[in-house]
Amino acid sequence: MFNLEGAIRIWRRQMAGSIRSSEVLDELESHLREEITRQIQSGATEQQAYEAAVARLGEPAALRYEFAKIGNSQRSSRKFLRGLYVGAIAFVLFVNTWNLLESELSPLERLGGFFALSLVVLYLSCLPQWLKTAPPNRYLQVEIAIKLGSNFVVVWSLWSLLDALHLVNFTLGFLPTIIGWCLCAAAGLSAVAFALNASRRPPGEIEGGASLQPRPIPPNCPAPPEFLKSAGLSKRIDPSVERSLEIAHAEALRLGHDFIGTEHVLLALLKLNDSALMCVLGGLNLSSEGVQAEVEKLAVPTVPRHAGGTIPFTPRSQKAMRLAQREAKALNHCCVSPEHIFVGLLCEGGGLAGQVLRKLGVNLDRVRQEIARAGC
Amino acid sequence: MAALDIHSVTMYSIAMLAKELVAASTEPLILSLLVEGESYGYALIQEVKRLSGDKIEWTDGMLYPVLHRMEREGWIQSRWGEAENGRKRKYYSLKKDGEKALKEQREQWVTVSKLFRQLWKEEYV
Repeated sequence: MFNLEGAIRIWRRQMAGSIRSSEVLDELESHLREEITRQIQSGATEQQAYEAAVARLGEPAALRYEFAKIGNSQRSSRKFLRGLYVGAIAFVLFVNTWNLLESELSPLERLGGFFALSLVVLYLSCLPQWLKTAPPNRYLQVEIAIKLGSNFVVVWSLWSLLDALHLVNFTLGFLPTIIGWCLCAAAGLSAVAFALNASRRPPGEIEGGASLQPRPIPPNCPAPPEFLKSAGLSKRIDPSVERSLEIAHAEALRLGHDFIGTEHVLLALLKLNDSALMCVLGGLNLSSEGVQAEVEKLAVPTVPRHAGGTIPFTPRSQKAMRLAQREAKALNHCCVSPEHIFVGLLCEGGGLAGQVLRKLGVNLDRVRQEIARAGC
Repeated sequence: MAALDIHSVTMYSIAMLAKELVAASTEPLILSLLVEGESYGYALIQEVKRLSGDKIEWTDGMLYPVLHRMEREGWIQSRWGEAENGRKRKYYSLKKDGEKALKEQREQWVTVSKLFRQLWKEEYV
């Protein structure tokens, strides 16, 4: 027996993982209930109404990103940060130039100092533009590098303090000290440039600058339960997984196959463009198009033989679904989501999807790490 | 327009209209609806759907970040009230700055519309 209030409570807990504000959650819940009422008045059952209403509201990750943009879109604070960034570069350039000119250094040391200073200023000047245009897989690596580099600011500052208090007895020369301070400024300002740029980039951005695809409004009635059961799914699933199975069905038809194999399920996950799964792929240095191309090398189209009606799932794709359910349960997630299906395909291993993922070097532990990082 | 920069892919319509066009028209539509009087998110979506003959269906959840952003801009204000079924509901209404913003956006749309009318020579553009 479907418990509507219980389902709404679970939905709210799920949303609360992405959206912290209780006021926003109250508003979204109010909307959800209105849509459920409308669906029921149109003849849907409570469960159908609930699932359709949840699907219409959209993915928590996408909503979180949109609400986060509001917090980051305060123009005055961005202008201030930009001004601070430019001013800091000018300050670093001025102070270090003055130091290098006024200090007693050999011509070679002075030249070395100016060379290092020029490199740092050039790097800081080009960094904002590069961050804007960096592809997502590189962007994540840069994010890690900048976070690690910002530790240098702490270490250098601490060392300088200990040196000033004569608590350490190891003094670098004048030139290495200047270079150290330039690097410290570079590390700190890199974090500022990254923060300025981070708010512009959607979490699910894929190559070519394409943003989150708008989620199509699903039909009022979800997929019939027997279609989901025929996929081997018996537990609660995210509406996006239902959608992906419908796309898998369409992919099988497109390729002229009379079965839904793991390759169709993988193609469907890629075409679904789920933001959390795209984050996971980005963390694995994979692009949606690249994986799709590899699948289509193996999934050869044939002359359609299917007469009509629903195409069945293969035993391998059903096994992948069961593994996905197990993964969701192991992670204590209440719903099976696209990223669990991805793990299921990888664990199943023997089907075309598993072969492609292994060929691309996808490692199960890394996938689980990326899922945890993406906040799934 | 700011709408395109911020949420060009979030407000989506089925098939008929380009997503950029739907995104660009979101704010003036919300402002125009609120000029008629106070309303709430769900009703705004249903009203847009009805007035457009089902050609524009906003992605439900994505309306709310837009409303919140417009509230931060100072164009609209909100209050919590009670719905007919006794549950609480958040109502939005237009502020003076919102009326000004609507006037500016309306002028821009009229400019574009006049240009199309000249080019296409259709009275209903």
